[in-house]
Formats: sequence, C-alpha cells, structure tokens
Amino acid sequence: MREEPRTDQVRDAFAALTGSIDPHLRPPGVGSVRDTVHRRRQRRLIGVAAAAVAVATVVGLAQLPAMEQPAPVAAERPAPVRTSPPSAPQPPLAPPTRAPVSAGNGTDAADGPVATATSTPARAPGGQASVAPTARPPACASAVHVSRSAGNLVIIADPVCAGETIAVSWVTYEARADGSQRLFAHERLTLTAARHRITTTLRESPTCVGAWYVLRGDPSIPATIGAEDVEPFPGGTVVASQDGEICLS
Amino acid sequence: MPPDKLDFAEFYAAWFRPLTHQLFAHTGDLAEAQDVVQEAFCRAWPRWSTLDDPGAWVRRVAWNLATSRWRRARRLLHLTRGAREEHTPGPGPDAVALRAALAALPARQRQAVVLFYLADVPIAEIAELTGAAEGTVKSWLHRGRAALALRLADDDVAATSEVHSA
Repeated sequence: MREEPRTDQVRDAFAALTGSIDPHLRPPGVGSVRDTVHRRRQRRLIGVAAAAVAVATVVGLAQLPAMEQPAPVAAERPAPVRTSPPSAPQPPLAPPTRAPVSAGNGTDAADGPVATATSTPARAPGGQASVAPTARPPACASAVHVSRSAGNLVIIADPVCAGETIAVSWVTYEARADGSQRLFAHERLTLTAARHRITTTLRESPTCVGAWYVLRGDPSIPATIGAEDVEPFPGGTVVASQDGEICLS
Repeated sequence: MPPDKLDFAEFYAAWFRPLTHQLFAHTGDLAEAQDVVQEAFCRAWPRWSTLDDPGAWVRRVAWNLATSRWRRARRLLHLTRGAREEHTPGPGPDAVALRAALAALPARQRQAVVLFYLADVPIAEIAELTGAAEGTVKSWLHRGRAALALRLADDDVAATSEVHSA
C-alpha cells in the first residue's frame, strides 16, 4: 500500500526541483558508456599482458645464470659407458683411456661410443656424477589471459608449457554496507595443453555485486575482504579483476 | 531472449534523467549525480544480458556509488572544505527550499523520501534498498514528509513577509 501525502506541496516541490535541473542536464549518452567500457577493457587487457610479460621476464631472468654456463667442451665430457667389452679388466672407476679431443671435433664417432642425452655418463674418478653435456631446453613460461563478455568469462592459457597443468580459479564477492566483501562464489579450473581455453559463467550476487578475481595457482581465498584490504591475494596470483561497489543493505 | 544493444539505448534514454533527478535530490550536486548515474550505466553494459531487472539494478548501483562517494568525501571534507566549485544550476525558489529541506533530513530518511516521491519506488523495495524494516521506512516517510511540508510552508511565509516588508 502506498502512503498518500496530505498535501501536494511536497510533490509540487519535487516537480519544481526536477524541472529546474532538466535544462542543465546533458546525458553523456550510450556512446560514452560504450567508449568507457571499451577503454577500461583495453586498460585491463594491457595490464594483464604487461603482468604476463613481467612474469615471463622474471622467469627468463631467473633461468639466465644456468643458461649462461659455458657449454662443456669435449675434453670435459665425461667418459661414456663403453658398449664394447673392454679388452682387459679395468677398475670400475677407471679414468678414460681415450685421449681427449679438442672442442668442436665431433668426428670421433667411429673411434668409440659418444655420449648422448640418453646415454649414461660414467662416473668421474672422484666418484661424482658428471654434468650432462646436452644444452638446456629454452625456458618456457606459460601465460594466462582473461576476457569477459557479459556474464561469461573466457580464460585462455597461451602458451601452455609441455606437460604443464595450470590451476586457475574465479572468485566473486558480495559487497556489504560497511565496505567489506563476503565470498559469494568460486570455481577452480584446470588448463592444460589439451584444454587451454575455458568459457565459464561468473556467479555474482543478485543484490550487491562485489569484486571478482581470476587467480592463478591455488592461493587461499578469504571468506571476507575487509574494506581497507586492497590486496587480498598474494602478489602475482591475480590474473584479472574488477572492483565492485559498496552496498547499502 | 536477452536484450540487445538497441534495448540498452532505449533503457538509457528512459532511465538516465529520472535517476539523475533522484541522485541530485539526494546529493544536491548535479555533476556528481550525473557521474554516478553514468558510472552505473557503464557497469550495467557488460552485464546487460544477465540483468533481470536492469532499472532496479542500475538504480541500486547508482545509489550505492553515491553513498560510497559521500563517505569518501566526508573523510576528506576537512581537506577540501571551501575549495570545491559549485556547478549546480540556479534553481527556482521552490527548488532551493526543497533542497534546503532535504539537506536537513538524515541521509537514509532523505533517501527514502526521494525514492518514494521521485522514483515511485514501493515501500517494500525502499526497505530492501536501505536495509530497514518496512515500518521504519513508513516512519521515515511520515516524518520526512512532515518536515518537508513544514519547511516549505515556513519558506512560503518568509517569502510572503519579505514581499510585505519590501
């Protein structure tokens, strides 16, 4: 049941108020809405791409010292396990009987067996395992990209390193009157080389839409995010996110 | 069937002005009112196909944004007091009186009055929006209407006195 005012004076005053601002009201228009949303989406994608590049760079730099180790020369190559029976009994940890060859001289294949990636290196005289002579494979850093269209979330891993399994999760929160946010829904997904693209639907609060996040790895998901907590997840785990709003109820 | 972008344009055209009216009545700042309403539409756009009741959704978001900004502004008030330029248009005497009367109401009471008189929002929905009981909303409306009527009547009397004494 609606309350009926005792007088039209209040309604008249409201009508006068709206009438007084109408001439000054300039709606920015749907084009402005579209441009704003497009600009924000671009900014978010650029941010995600920049983060992916940063992660790839950090991973690459972290592996650089190992990659910069000088390639072992043939003289340092460990003696391969002989595949032909020795002509005379030898002690089990005997040094190589062949004279060392210079670096780059790989034509000695006919002289005896050559160490390969699959060969078993002999133990060095000191009893220590020798370094594998093969070059390291190039560093691989997978990247996860997220785009959102309406309620759908498209999560793509590109590239996915061989044999890698990437755990991702989406999380939605419900905004509360005090500015805090309560966990509303979340889902854990797995990306692999065979399934590198997933389309899913974000479940958001029907009353008070809060922030949503797409996370990489398995960071702990807080049940509540405080109003002042601007970084609820560990650094590097947030692939994409969008702020929510504060609700009254 | 989900609404298309044409529907959004129609929705925008139908809702922008009334929502801005409501938020202006609440905040007293036209630029701020337009900002929060536009922002609410921007947030609705990506979710458009999933919104069951877009009008109610956008209204709720706009009000939430206004409340959120008001809280932030209140925290920064001591820094910005007197520095802000007023861009509100020059309203007529009735509008001035109403704005003054509205400004004197407590925030949630003012919200209830604005939603009721300007947006024709039912009491049950106002209760849901504000997180208050329906009885409380009725009480707010009763007291708010009485306070506004009294204030408007006082201003009428004052205006008449000024005319007589001039």
